[in-house]
Amino acid sequence: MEFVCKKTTELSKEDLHKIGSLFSEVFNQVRTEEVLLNQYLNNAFGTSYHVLMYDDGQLIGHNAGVPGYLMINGKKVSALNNVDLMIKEEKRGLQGFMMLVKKAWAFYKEQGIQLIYSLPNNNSHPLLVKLKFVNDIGKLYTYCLPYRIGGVKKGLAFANFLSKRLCKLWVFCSSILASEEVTTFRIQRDYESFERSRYKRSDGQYSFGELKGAKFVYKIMIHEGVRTAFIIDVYDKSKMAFCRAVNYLLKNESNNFDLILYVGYLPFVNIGLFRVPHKYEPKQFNFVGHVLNSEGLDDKDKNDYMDINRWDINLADDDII
Amino acid sequence: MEEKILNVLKEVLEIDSATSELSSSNCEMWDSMAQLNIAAELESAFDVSLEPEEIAGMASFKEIVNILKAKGI
Repeated sequence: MEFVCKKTTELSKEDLHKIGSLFSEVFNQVRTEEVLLNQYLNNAFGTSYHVLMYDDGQLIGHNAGVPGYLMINGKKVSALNNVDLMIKEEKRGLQGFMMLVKKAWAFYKEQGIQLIYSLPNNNSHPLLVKLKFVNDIGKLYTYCLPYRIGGVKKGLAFANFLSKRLCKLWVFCSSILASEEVTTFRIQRDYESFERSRYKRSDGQYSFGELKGAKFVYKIMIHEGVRTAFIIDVYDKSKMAFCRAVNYLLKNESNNFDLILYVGYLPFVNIGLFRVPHKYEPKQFNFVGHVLNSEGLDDKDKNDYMDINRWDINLADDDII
Repeated sequence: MEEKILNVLKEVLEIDSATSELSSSNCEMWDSMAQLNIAAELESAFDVSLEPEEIAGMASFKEIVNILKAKGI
């Protein structure tokens, strides 16, 4: 097996085409070369880092890291989101997996990256953890509001009127009880560099909303057959801001979705959405991390980095849906 | 030791019989996840801690024997 490390800016058109083909083969999803480039170039560094794995000249594996900056207890630190780790099914094995990830970690270190985090799927998660490439930080939650229940479960279309009424009542009651207090996080994105490029990623189809001072980003799409409004990020994280985001969607977009989803981790409840218990989640969101280079970080920073309660984490960090 | 390893392989891979020729290339059940489980079972069976490189190298009965022998078992 042969491994080639490249920045996105060094990938040829043929490389991108092969990565796209491998992606659709492994994940059964189409990603055009344009979408891939959007994904990999729109970050604070203007590039991502790739390891391409070849066998007999054929691309059989790939791993990418999307770099950026995190603020950890007020310090700006280079951090990278490890994404698109994939190996052709017939070529999978622990040895190859290990070599691919090892190469990636070494490449990231060479590029001056200090921290790695990732939201790996259930296939690669146990391998990454057991082979000690990462440690578990925690699991993200799925928060939901089934607005038009018939759109989520076809047989329940007769109950649409009721579910819509109940949702509005629920959000109204949540808004009465919700506090305006904004939660601060010890670990969050460096918003200044992040915002400049993040929402050009993927297909770039993100919407921005504001209601009574609460600002948020959302995306409406068909997800697994359901018209879904994803709340990607809410800027000031208070219970009230979430209620306002949900309220905004109900008032302005309710004809376009049947379900509202937010995926992330919040240290509070009562946000106008229901938190789905992990055992009932259709998809689990594993969250892992690794300190590559601890220069400038003290023990508190490193401990905080591995503690999900310190993180402001949600779909803004990764298009994992 | 070898008998113990074969028992671990039989149990984890859910196969009726295991021989010294068993490996990931001739056993469909022996995938990456199974290999992790084999390593975990071996760790408790032999009260030993395996390094990631050792776990990744355990792709056959013979390799397992060599790795455990090198650890003084």
